[in-house]
Amino acid sequence: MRVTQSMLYRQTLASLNERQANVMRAQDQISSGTRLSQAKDDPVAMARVMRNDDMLQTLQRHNDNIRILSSRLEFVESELDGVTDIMHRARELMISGANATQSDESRSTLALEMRALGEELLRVANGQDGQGRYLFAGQDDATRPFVDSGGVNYQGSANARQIPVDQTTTMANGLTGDEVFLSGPAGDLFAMFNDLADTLEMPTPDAATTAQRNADMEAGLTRADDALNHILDLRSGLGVDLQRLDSAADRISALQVSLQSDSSGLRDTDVAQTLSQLAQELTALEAAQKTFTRIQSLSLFNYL
Amino acid sequence: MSGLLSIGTSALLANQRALAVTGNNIANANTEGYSRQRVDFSARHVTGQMIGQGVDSGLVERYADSFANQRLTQSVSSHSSLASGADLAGRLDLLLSDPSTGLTDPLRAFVDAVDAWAADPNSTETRVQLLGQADTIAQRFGQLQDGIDNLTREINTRIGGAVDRINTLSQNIADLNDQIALNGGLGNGQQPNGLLDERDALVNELASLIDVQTVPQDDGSLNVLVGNGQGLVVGKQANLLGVNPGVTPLDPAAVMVGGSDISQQIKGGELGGLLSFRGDVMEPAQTKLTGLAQGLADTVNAAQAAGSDANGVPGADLFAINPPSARLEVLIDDPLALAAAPAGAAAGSGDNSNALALADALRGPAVNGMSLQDAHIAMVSGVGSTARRLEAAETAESALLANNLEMRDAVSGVNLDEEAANMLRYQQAYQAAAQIIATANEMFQSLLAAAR
Repeated sequence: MRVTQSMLYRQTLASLNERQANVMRAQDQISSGTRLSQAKDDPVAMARVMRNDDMLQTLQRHNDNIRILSSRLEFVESELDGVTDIMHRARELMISGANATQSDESRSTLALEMRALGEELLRVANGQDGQGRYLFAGQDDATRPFVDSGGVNYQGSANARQIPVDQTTTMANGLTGDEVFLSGPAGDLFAMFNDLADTLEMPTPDAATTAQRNADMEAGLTRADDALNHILDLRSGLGVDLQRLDSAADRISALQVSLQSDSSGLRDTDVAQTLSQLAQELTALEAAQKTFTRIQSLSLFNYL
Repeated sequence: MSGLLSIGTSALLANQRALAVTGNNIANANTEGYSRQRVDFSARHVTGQMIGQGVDSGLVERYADSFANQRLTQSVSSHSSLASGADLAGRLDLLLSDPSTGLTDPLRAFVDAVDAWAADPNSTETRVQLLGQADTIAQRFGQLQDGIDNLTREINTRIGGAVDRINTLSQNIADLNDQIALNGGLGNGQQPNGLLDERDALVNELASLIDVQTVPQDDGSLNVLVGNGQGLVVGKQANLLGVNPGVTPLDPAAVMVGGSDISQQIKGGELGGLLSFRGDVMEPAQTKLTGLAQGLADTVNAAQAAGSDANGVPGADLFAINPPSARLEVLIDDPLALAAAPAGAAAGSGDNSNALALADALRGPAVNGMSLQDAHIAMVSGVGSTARRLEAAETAESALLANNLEMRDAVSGVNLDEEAANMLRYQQAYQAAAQIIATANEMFQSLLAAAR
């Protein structure tokens, strides 16, 4: 083929241009740290990275939910721990009240303590978490759940709030006051404390009333036992929930690591490889510049 | 002796002419579209005479391969079309996929704000945060729509500019056709070399704007056709293209010839690139963007309507949209107007089931059976793939263009070494011819001296 000067010139120019564009791209990839600055750089990888990022955001949210949920359930558990103590003390009072050495007066003292325990229980039932939200009001956690107006009334919601902890599962963020304090096998616990105190205070002028009181004391003890077991059951349920949350958190962090490493492989510049490409391009650029000046200096006119 | 003198003179003139043509080649070594020329020499002889009578310098011949030129014209057209298409597609892709202009981050942040609100529905912070993200995403949709509108205006302006240039070029080609025909066309005589080069260059320039077919005519003129054979240049007559700008500045401008719209038939040149980008890339992207905005508005509004807000009344629409634009308007500014609770719930209810339903719906089918995020990813990666494909096609086509330019230059281009060698050759021949005249003169002097 006949070759002309403008052909050589154009070709060199085109290859210089291309080399410089490659150098610029490599430099850009190294300085920005990403090889995906827009979708056309790799549309498939871009789609995958976007999906991963969406998933990571959701996982992060679930992780936050789990953190908040765990903290709240721990609050609930520690309050139930207090309730357990109260129940233990109530049992002790009942056992001690059933002792034949007790007089009516000494039993009235026990009854006084029993009523105090009932008030303590009401205080616990209106407990709040770190954010000032009621722990036992169900989802209406801004409402004080238990109000004493001649018998304790539940003002909260019958349902606990459901919080997503993974894509398909939600968990209740606590126990409703209703299920803890009102609807166990021992019935209304606030009423129970009143009943137990009443039993302790029951006057026993004769053998018939004494027999009645003893029977009531026994029934009361059974009821206190039921209440204690009810609270212990709820606590172990909470323990199971907290464990589930822990394992969900572990699963999330494992997923996060794998998604992040997938995205990083698709998006991040392989600096070592890009640097060596850059060096290669620079060498080629220099070579193209040198050959251009060599070729341009050759002309028959130099010899005329 | 007079024979020798005239032989010498003819050689002197012929080589002088050849030197002039060589000089002209050298002068035009870098002229775009110039075809190298050479002088045809032929021996002059008279019938019945043993000895020839010198040299005739005939026509100045132009080196051109019409097939190579046609291939070049075609690849100029394809390349220019792909170059403008790839450039625009790359810019649209950047608009959609760059984190600072695209929807990726605001969409993700909006969904996350819904999640946060669902986990804590009665907190003012999560509600305010959600309304803030609704504003952000509405604003981003607006910015994307601005970006697309700007592209539409730019394309309309560029179509107008290209049509103006096409009309000028057509007129110039028609004028050249006229001159070439007046010159006696392309018969056996001297060709109008300069005019032909000029016309080829104009045709290539025209091809960079619109795909053309050329049909050479007997009188030397060249007919130029566009679209489905509509004549742009017929002989010395140029038919002007027109632009139908539509009613508003955002209406797609159409290319008209003789009252009919030929936009669909234009496949090459800058115009072809602009039109096919508009029809095959931008308009589908606009449809998808609008679908996305509509899907978001519908999903959120449906959830609002199904729920009860913090004041215990049914939720009102959060977003309004006015298709085909993808601009969203946020209708709610009171955080209490977000409906977290199910329908019928009392004021201040802490029920989050409606908010949870919205969080689910945002991940469920919202746009043609796809979730919002999937539909968004499909839009971004679709435009990205097209941009990448056009870029690759442009790279391939520019290699072809370079190749076709080389094929043309292999025939028509000026090689300076070759011209240097020719210069030496003609210079030596010129000196030798001068020597012939000197010799003839000496012979004449000898004869005169002998007769004295």
